This record gives sequence, structure tokens and C-alpha cells, in this order.
Amino acid sequence: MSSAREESFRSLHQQTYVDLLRFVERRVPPSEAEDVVSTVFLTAWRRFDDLPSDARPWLFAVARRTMANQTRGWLRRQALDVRLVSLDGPAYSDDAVGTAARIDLERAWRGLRPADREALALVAFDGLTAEQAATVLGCRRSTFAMRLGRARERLRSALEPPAAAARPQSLTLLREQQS
Amino acid sequence: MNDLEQLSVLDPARGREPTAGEWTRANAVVDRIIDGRALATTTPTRRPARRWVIGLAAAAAAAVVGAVAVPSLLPGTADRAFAAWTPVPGSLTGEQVMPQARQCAESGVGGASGPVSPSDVVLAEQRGLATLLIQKRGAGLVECMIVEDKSFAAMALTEGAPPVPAKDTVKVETSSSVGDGDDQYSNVVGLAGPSVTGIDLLLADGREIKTSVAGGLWAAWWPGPEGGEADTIKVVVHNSTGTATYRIGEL
Repeated sequence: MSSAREESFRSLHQQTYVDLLRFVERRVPPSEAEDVVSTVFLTAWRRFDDLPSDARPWLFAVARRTMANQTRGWLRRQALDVRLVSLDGPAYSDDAVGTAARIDLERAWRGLRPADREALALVAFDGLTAEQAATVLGCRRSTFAMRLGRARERLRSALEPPAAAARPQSLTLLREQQS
Repeated sequence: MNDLEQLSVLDPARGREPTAGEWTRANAVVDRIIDGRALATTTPTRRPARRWVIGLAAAAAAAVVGAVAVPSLLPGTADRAFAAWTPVPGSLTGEQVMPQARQCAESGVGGASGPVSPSDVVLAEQRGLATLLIQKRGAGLVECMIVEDKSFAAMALTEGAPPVPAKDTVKVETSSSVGDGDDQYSNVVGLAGPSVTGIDLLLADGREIKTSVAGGLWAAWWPGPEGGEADTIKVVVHNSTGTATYRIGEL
């Protein structure tokens, strides 16, 4: 009985470790990530009987809470912010998005609210569905879908040329962003 | 390519694969979790360089500072420790805590080996069933919590001798919370100038905690998450001329 549980746990670890490590490294410095991941698996072992069949979002949710517990600076924010690849990182030279476009994208990203970045990252970086992302954030799927939609809208708006961004609709969005 | 696909170029973990060493450590963590030797941990809210580190990871990656907390694996122990916790600690001498000091040394945290003696113990306190120790290990200091003769948590505090703050001042070296939900507890360790006679903590919920002060250090632990929260604790510093109150974020 217990060996079956151990085997299942080891299997879960093999299947999810890489994704969990990436999820955590997107949000905290790599030097901190290994500890967070270990804590998440410890929690998973303790609550193994409660794990849903789709365990990955559950693990991500535990990781998110673990990270939020751990650093005072993060707690000042409403959302757990997402890091960016460094400017001189390899992604600069080998992706399909040109350097200029990437700089624009990065500037737009930095201009978003942390909550928008979080919603976008869960889908664009972590590869989650809206249902899974909602599990990570502890909200309803429809709530997340709305958050994601607004975040995408703000991203698109931030990527628009300055002239277009000065239109009344964009100003409204900006005011909403600052509220 | 839609906007979300475009964003993937900003992904800091794009194409990230664990190294062989990371896999080895991760599998060692799983072994320790299953064996019941695993330790939950957290990173302190201050001084990341002295962060709590998973005891399990620390064992695999020897020299790292390590923290080990087992409330999640030994809920009974955590429950009993929390139930017996007292806001005012009892002071203990190095001689009185030698069994716990040896356990602390055996945790491997701090990376040093060799025997431990009473003079290595810088600070020792008792709150109910839990003994909190700060002791010299190698050139630095380690902190341990022992509950009912079991190693509950361990953390490397410094790699060398800590600085001595000015006579009336105090500093916070690390403030953190460990665990999850009802198993969560907080820990604060700081430095105290030579004129400081006592330090109390005031929590937002009104709880008042007397810390232990010895050897230029002060420390306390308590059940609850406040150590990992943003600046919710007040620190009351007593010295021969009076009392001063600070927000923990100021120290």
C-alpha cells in the first residue's frame, strides 16, 4: 500500500519537477527556486491523498503560496510578479520576434500591472489553460478569463504606436490601470 | 503568431532544463520526503543570502545553509509545540542544552563538522516543548529548533562572526515564516547592541512576545505567519535609559 503511494509520488515528481522548477524560476531568482520546489513536493507528499488528477496546477498553486509567504517584498504586491529573461540572454538572438519588436514587447510588458503580467504569464509562459490558471490563482474560470482578456487588451494597447495610444479609449484604459 | 505566442520570447525559463546535479538533488529530496526525514522550509524575508534552505536539499548539497522544519511531516509534534508555546521564554545555559546542541550540530547545517561544547552555545531558550538554539559552527552561527528531542528546524545564520551594532541599537538579521496554514510559525533573529537589556515583539493581533537576548543576538519564534508578512511587527527595545519602539521594517 505504502509502496504504491511512494511509487505514485515518485512518478508525479518525475512528471512535474521540470515544469514546477520553471514555474518557480519565472517568479523568484534561480538561487531560491530549488528550495521552493522542494517545499512544494513536501506539501504534496503530506496531502497526497487530496491531489487532483491534474496535479500540475495544484502544485503551482502551492508554489505560488509558498513564494508569497517567503519574501516581504513580494507580499507588498497584489500579484506574484514574473521575471523577464535578461536583455542579453540567448532569447535575443534566436527567436522569431525581431530585436526591435522584442524591445517594444518588453517595454509594454513592464508597463503592465503585476496582476496583468501574472495572468498573461500563466498562459504564455507556463502554458496553462484558463481552467488550470484559475486553479493556480484560486478563482473561477470565468474570472480568470476576464482577467486574461483585459490583460491582453492592455498589452495590445501598450504595443500600439504613441499616436494611437493617445485615443480616448486608450486613456480610459490607462486610468483603469492606475486605479 | 498571436500576442501570447509572441510573449514567450520574454519567458525567463524558456528552454530551461535541469542539470544532472539538479536532478540528483531533486531525487534526493524525494527520498528524504518519503523516508520522513524531510523538512519543510522557507526563505527568510530578510537577507536572502542567509535564507532558510530545505534541509533535504541541504543534505544533498552539503555546504549550503539548511533549514529543516518538519511540521508538515510530523503534525503531532508541531501541534504539541504550538500548544505548549509560551510568549515568555525560559533561559537555558550551554550545559543545559548539550543534547540539543549536538543534534543541531548533527543536522549538517552550516557545513562544519566536529564536536560541539557548551561554550559554542550563544543563545538558548525554551518555549514549552521547543528549544531554540543559536550556536557557533565553524566560523559562523547556526540556529536550530529542537522539539521533544527531534530536530525541527535548522538554519545557517552567518558564515563568520556577526557584526556588533552600536550600543543601543538592534538589527533584524532574518524574519520569516515557515510552513503552511495551521502549521505555520514565525522566526526572527537579530543583533543587539551591548546596552540593550531586552527586546519585545508586538504583533498586529495584540500578542506580545518577549525575545531572548544573549551574546549580542536576539531571537524568538511563535506560531503564526507574521514573520513572513510585510512589516506588521513592532519591535520594542529596552535599554538602561528607556524604551524605543520600531517597525520591524526599520531595523
